[in-house]
Amino acid sequence: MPAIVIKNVSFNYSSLAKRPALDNVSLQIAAGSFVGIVGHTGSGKSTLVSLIDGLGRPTSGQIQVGDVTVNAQSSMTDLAKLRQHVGYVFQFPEQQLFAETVGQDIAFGPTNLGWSADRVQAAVQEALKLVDLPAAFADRSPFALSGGQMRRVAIAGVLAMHPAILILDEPTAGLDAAATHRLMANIARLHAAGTTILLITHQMDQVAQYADQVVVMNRGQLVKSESPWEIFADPAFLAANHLNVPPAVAMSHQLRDAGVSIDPALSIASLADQLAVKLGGESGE
Amino acid sequence: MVDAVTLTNVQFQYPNTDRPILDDVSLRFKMGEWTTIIGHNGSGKSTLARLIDGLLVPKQGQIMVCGLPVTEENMVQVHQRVGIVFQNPDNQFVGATVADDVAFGLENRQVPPAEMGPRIRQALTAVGMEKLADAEPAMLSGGQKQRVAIAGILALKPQVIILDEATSMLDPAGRQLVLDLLQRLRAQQHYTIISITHDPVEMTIADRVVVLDGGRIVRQGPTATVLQDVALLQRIGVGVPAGQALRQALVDRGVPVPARYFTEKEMVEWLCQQL
Amino acid sequence: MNNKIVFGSYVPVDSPLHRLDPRMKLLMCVWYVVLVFFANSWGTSLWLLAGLLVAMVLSHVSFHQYWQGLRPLAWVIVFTVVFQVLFSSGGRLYWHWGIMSITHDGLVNALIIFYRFMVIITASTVLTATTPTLRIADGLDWFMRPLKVLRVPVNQITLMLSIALRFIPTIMDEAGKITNAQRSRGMNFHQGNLVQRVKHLIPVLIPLFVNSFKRAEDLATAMEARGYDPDSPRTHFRQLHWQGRDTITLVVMVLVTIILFLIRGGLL
Repeated sequence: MPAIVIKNVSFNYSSLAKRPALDNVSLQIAAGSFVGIVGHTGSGKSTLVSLIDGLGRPTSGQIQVGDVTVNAQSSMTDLAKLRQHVGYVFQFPEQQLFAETVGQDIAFGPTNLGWSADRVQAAVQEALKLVDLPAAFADRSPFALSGGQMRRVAIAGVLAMHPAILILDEPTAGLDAAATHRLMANIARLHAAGTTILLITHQMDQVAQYADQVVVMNRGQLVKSESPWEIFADPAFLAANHLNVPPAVAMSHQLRDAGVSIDPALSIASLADQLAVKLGGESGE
Repeated sequence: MVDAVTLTNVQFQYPNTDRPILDDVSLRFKMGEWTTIIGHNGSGKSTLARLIDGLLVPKQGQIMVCGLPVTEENMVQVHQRVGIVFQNPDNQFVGATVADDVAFGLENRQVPPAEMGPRIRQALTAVGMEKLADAEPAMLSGGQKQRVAIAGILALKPQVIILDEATSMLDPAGRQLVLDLLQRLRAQQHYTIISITHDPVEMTIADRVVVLDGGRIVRQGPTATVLQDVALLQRIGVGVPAGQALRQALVDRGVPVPARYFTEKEMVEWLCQQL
Repeated sequence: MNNKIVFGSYVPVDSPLHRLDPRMKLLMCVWYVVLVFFANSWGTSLWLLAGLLVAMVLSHVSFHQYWQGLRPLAWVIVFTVVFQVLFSSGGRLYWHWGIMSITHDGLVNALIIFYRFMVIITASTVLTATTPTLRIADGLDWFMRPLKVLRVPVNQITLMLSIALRFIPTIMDEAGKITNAQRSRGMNFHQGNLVQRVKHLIPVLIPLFVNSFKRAEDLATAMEARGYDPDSPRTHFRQLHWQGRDTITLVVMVLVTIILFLIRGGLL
């Protein structure tokens, strides 16, 4: 069952704009998928997801999320209905923390949904657990935490609303490798539990490793929506759309070009698995 | 030859904290060398950069820049010899336009107005931003703003350029532009570059790597030697360059790979020889 | 992002108005605002409006762009005008309900306030659209120079001002992002009574303040690293050059003023 159906959507920020921010985009996303949305800065990635979250009205076309459909005529109330299905973690979300305690900040979203106090409290505790923070953090000030912890509190604030679809815009930007790894593991766990993930990123290694569908945007148009295998098999296509080749993919291409018969690999681990079989055999181990 | 920067037994502690962020750190940066400083968030890397430029004063120890002690009296010369590019491209852009921003440092140095025009033009040409001299910050990408920040430093004719996670908020295209620029500057051999980073690619370009952990230097040496220790990189939470990551993954799977540093290209070449 | 025009932002095109000395434009803008308060009839008001329209045309900035810049303020103007219509009294009474009434004087006052609001805001938009903020600060710096004798830190004030102006677009952009993030978390700005609506601002204003403090700290560090010392003299990259066209503009302003007073005195 598709979770999101986008039909011929265009979007203009202003009538003065030289070209539309989105130009006739059509896309289907199946429930439970992990979608990487990629493209250079200004390609329309963020505009696309903000429409899915009902933060703007398409200039033309329609967007269906679950049982809610919006188009150019939809009212603000209709747009707000989209948000009941969708959680949106903005870039540098720690810059949106405002409450006195971590608990109050995470409770903001669920409270806005009109949940009972008990239900809100349960959601706060559960959300803290989902981002690997101890329950005792609920009473601390969000502004006294480390950068990585603030990021996770902000993400918990979105997860507490139990979105069926989770949008993340560059969730690991500015984090060190250890924090990046932990956060991606959290996201993978949410995905495994059934959440549809939409990940906007410039980090092609994350897309190659986690996504099962890759949406490539360029100058407001949807250029391609395929599996990562298809996307990363074509270095010329990646270069034309200003996308980097993940190192594992690059190395497997170089090996194949040199005549080594291996399957294209999307992660260092899968590349190493293949090579180990070959090398192990040769060295007789 | 005098070292570009030396730190001798430097200790620094922020107020209201229970332990020093840097403890008994001694380091030398040779003229013209490119050093990368790595370590997880909160390991004291950025503090180190601020100490070298005299923006913070150490509790103990001495810091010298090109033979000049970093003290209150020498601050004007220190700021002129050391330039820092900070992490957030927006929060260091002072001018209303690109040219005005480059002029800011010159104005502080009381350079005569007639001299500024050519110096600004030269600095902007060096970073490839001369065509955007009149552009406003809101029209620039993060990578362009960081290049303007570098131009602002170059206009002051510095000896030491410090990049404090200067590429961490940029997209890959912006990061590449900044790194290409730095490599061009290195080729001119006038500058000592100190880059503080998590980025595996930025690490591999350097001549030397210094690893900070818990306020101390836990390792320093030529890039290839330090990056060979994948276990150390993982322990301190910084990214492992892809060639090394593949080598480690193969070793973990029982494949005997020589214990040395591999770039991606070297790894592929080695594999081709074996297969 | 480049297509968005916020109130007070510079529009980089080449026009006779762009080329004027910022001191002249600053003087012209303040002068004009003072003149607006001398307009007391249809004739005088239309005369000043015509002057403004000529300046807008000469600025090579389209009316549409001006409108985009003014639109965010439209609500303030509408609110003030409606308030004026409903809550001022005098003259013939047309309608009333409770403390609210519509009277002849109320309508006239509202019209005057609407006119003054519109032309003053538009005039300042013409100034900011044709003059980069730093140049405005340079102009102010020049006008404030006499105050140096009184030990007023003129250089610091104008630098502060120019930095504040430089960050307006950045902060507006950030306010938009934070608002969207909190809307995404289910906040509805348009719900509830006045007190509740004011409360809705907290999740936007607090992060905005926190970020601004962080930014100010970063900026202070960066400025210090680039050799800024508030107590040391600085030179100025941008030099001001008063030219023939500035003198001509000054003469035109004098003529506009003379004609205004002729109309006002019933001589024209």
